[in-house]
Amino acid sequence: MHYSQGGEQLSDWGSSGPYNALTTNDCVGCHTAATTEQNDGSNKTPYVMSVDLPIYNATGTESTTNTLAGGSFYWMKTAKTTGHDVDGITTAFDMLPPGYPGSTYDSNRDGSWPTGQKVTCAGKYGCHGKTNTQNLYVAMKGSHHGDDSSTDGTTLAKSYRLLDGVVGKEDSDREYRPTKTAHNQYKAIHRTLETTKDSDTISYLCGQCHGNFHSGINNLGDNSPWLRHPTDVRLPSSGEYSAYTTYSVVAPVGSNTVTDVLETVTPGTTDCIVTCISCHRAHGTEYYKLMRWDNKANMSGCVVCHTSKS
Amino acid sequence: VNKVKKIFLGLITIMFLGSSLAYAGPYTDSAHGNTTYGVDRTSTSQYTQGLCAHCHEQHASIGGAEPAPNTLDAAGPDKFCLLANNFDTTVTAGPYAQDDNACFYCHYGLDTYQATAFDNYSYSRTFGGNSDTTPASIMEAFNLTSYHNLKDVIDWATDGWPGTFTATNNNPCSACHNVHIAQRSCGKPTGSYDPAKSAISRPSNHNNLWGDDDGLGDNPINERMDAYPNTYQSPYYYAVTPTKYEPANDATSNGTNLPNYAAFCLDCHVNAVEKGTTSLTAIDWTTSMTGDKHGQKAAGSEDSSHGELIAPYVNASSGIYALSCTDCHEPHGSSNEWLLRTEVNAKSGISITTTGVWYEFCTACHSVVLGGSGSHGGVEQSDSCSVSLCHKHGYEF
Repeated sequence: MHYSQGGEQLSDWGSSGPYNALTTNDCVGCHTAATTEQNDGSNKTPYVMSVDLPIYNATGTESTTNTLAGGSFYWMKTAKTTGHDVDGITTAFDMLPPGYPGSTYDSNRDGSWPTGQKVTCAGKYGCHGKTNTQNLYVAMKGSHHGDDSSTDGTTLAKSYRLLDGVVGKEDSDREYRPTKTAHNQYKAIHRTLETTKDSDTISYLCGQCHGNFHSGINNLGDNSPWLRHPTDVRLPSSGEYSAYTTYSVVAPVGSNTVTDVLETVTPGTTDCIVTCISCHRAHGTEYYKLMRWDNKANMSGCVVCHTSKS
Repeated sequence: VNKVKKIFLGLITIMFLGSSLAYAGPYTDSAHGNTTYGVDRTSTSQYTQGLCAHCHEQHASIGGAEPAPNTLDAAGPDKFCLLANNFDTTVTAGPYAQDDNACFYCHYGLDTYQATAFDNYSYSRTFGGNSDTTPASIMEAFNLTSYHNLKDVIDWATDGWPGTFTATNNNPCSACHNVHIAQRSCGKPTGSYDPAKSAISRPSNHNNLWGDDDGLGDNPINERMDAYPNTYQSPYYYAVTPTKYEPANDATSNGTNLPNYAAFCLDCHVNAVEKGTTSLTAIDWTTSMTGDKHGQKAAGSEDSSHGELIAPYVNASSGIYALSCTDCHEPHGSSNEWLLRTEVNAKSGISITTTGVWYEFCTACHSVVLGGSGSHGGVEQSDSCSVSLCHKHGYEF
């Protein structure tokens, strides 16, 4: 209540309080694993950052991995290209959001990204929460304790991972060592026009800051041959893509309906759709460009879909 | 018994380990996917050599900017997420500029975007042993006197195999090469020729390498020149005193180590090619009356007397030979007309400077006695060989 107990702060509180909403720490503070801690599959607070080096392995899905679906910001501390340069994680502005679409996705966003503005966890310059405010706490208001009995996107609390308006099926342990039967189910749509957008897909969420890589005119094209790698487009049923029939946690696909966790999928249908996070993890990985695998060194993730390019 | 089981399990384990280590997919086995000499764009050097990102830009942006090349036909996002526009279809004839063809950004010569400059020499040099080092790049070859017209190639391929090629999307080079599986057939950098590696795919069968299979063992189809009807005799590999044969500069002379280029080229050239600036006679390599004598059609004894054969060809076998197209023609371009080679059957320095005057060329394989009562009495060295219905594809003689 007073950011004080007995005249001092407790050791597990953040050190730069007092904080809005009378919280004991900020976003990064609460979601950072303390020394000797990591995600273990049962921790209630998901750790997206850690004091100690997390274990990612080759794809972030292996049996000893302790990062979650979004990966970790840990590597951003020393390698700028491995994650989003979120305020509180990094100390310096890194770069403008590549492919920033202005306010075309979300009228709350600026027409151009302010020079030097760092990405924030939530709010107008962030990913989580409402975007009609820069205040992270206001942006997240009511979400942590709200009714999250479903993830239909109708409220912030009911949005997938508190990403406002996004729909999806949340894995109970947030993809701690996921398998084909235990994973998030990401919402996606199959588009036949690159101008089409559907605000409840996970790729649309990414598009709010990287929209030129997701939609527009002559940004992707409407069909193959694509100008940029398509997202919110289903895998074709023919050729090399037809072999993607088992859900891959290495290069996952999204689906139009997210009521069930899909173990098998069918290319050419709306249960087998490419998303931004088919290749990337939102927070970061130990690999270049937040890739799910080390694409500077190998194509192990590419060939999950591009099966003839092994 | 337990000891035997352990040994057996050990052997099985070793066998599987070995097989996994030996496995590589078609792309990683390809020339472009090779980690030693594969694709390695200067502006994407953060990626390991051979990886997709050297040719494909997932977002036409890395760190907020498009990596070079990013001007002219390479500016902005391009189809197939390529580093540049695949082919500029407004270019109907050479000479070609680098940005006309995405492949030319690397297959260019000294100013290549490939991190380490490399040479792609002519067929005459690579497989024929010619000492001439020009052309030294693919683009340079296409800018010689005669060349496969790239616009006409992709248009023709699109007409012939619309399910595979689209003129406005695909690269003309892909009509003959599948870039994801094409291999370095000349064996570089070790310098050894490996007939099991092939750089070509028939336009009619784009996803299959052509020439790599010898019809033996697990390869039921023989894609080599020895499978072509009639006898194939390899021409000599260049030497002052030649004793070895194309394409490997070794003793093999029956085509068992050469892709069946006759079948390969005839995918297109079995038809008369009328496309854009190209007008070509249909090539008839069969035994029919209208067939070519350099193909399966038998050459009569009178033919030998008009142009006796030069070793390794022998008059006694005249009529049973069927040649490979590459025995006479370059695949990309030549300083001679009709893509005719500058070195044939160990005769180098062949320069055709006047249309149809092929004496220097033909005499690489035929003894032609000019004037008087010779086999070509009344004919001068400076005369055209292709006039008066004499020598030409589809003509009687």
